[in-house]
Amino acid sequence: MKDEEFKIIYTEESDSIFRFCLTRVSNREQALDITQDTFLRFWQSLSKEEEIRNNRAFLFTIAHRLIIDWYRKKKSISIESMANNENDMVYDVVDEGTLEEIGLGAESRFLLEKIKELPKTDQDPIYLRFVEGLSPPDIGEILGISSNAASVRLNRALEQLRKITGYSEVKQ
Amino acid sequence: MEKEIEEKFKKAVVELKGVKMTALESENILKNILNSPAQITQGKPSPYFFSFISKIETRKFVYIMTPCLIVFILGGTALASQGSLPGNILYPLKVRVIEPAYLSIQSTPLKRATYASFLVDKRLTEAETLAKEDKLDESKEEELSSLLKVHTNTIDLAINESENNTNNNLKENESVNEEIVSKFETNVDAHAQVLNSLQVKNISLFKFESESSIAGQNENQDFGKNKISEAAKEGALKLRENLEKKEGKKIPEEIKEVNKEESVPISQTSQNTPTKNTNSDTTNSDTTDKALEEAQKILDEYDLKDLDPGN
Repeated sequence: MKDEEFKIIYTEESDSIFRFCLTRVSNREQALDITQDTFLRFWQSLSKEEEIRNNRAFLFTIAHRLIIDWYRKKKSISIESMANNENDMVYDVVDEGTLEEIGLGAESRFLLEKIKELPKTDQDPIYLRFVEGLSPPDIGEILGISSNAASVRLNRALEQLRKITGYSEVKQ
Repeated sequence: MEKEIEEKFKKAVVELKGVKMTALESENILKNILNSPAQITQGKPSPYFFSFISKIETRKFVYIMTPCLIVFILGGTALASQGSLPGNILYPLKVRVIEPAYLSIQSTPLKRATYASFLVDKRLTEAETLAKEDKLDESKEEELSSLLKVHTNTIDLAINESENNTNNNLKENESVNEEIVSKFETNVDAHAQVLNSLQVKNISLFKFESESSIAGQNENQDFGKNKISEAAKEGALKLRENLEKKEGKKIPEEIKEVNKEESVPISQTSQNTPTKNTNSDTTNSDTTDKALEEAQKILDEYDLKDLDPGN
């Protein structure tokens, strides 16, 4: 029974998680590893019969934390980030080579580059909202912030994105 | 123009959403996850029994060694208390915990009476030990005397219980009780003599150190009255009285007076008193008459009529 339930969830969400990981790490293999780890931990939680209210938000939360852990191991922590006590993940745009490898078109590459120009705290909310279609409460749960804070960051990020992309008429 | 921009944005989003794993990659990940150890579902452990056992498993050493240590310490303390004397820190543990506990597990009145007699013997021995070391002060005398009274009461109660137990053979009962009381009297008498002579010796030495001339003059004076021996003798007399009452005998008043004056050891008196009645046909009144005759003989022998308080 749990196997079937897990397979269903995996089929529905695995690509979203993979995409989320890929847009943050610079390597497809690494993205696959993190995706596997995410679903493994999800599977362990299911086995322990832990209560999961929102499968999708829970998966993104796990992936988000695993990516942070990976960055902490890989990247050296700068004095500036330590001073700012940044817990948010440093959004790292996939390099050109990887973008070509995964077959991203010109528009999507442009969008990703512009998202990178936004403040670090606003990059994730924009991506999760427009690409993955998550609601502000879910975004708040994933990032470990309140729903209101997620909405504020979203609006701010959208306003900024319109200015830098010229998508001034794009609405939420 | 605006529509065009909006279309571009939507197109960008669609392109991003097109980023996926290959079928092979997806299949491999799923296989790895389902074959991982996390797949083995373990039953939810009971919050009660299982967790208790698991706690013991994880801290086996503590949970096994702690009770063993407690038993070892308690046992060692009990053993160490056996040789303790009044004034020792373990003495209360011996007389108030260990001995009463052992007494309570004696199954029959006979065993209880026997053990209580043994305790009387023990108290008197402790008194002698202290007296030898000249450590027998008033407080210890008081303590030992009160313990002797308790033990004597225990013997008395046990004898009563055996008498009241209709299941026992009456004559056998009487015989056993008589033996207990006789042995008790003999022991008490022997210990009393030892205690009294130790007391005399201590006092003599004391007086010799302080006033040598007076000690020499008072050698023959009786300093032998010791509180503990007095208490023991009183207990023996009480037991004898109660036993005689039960068997329908009466101790003459003169003999009671004699015993209080201490000139005649109790053991000698009891040996001459006919208490054993092996003839089943002899009535209680016959035995009473015989006891009176014997008592009169003793009185005559020691010429104790002169000690009559009336004179």
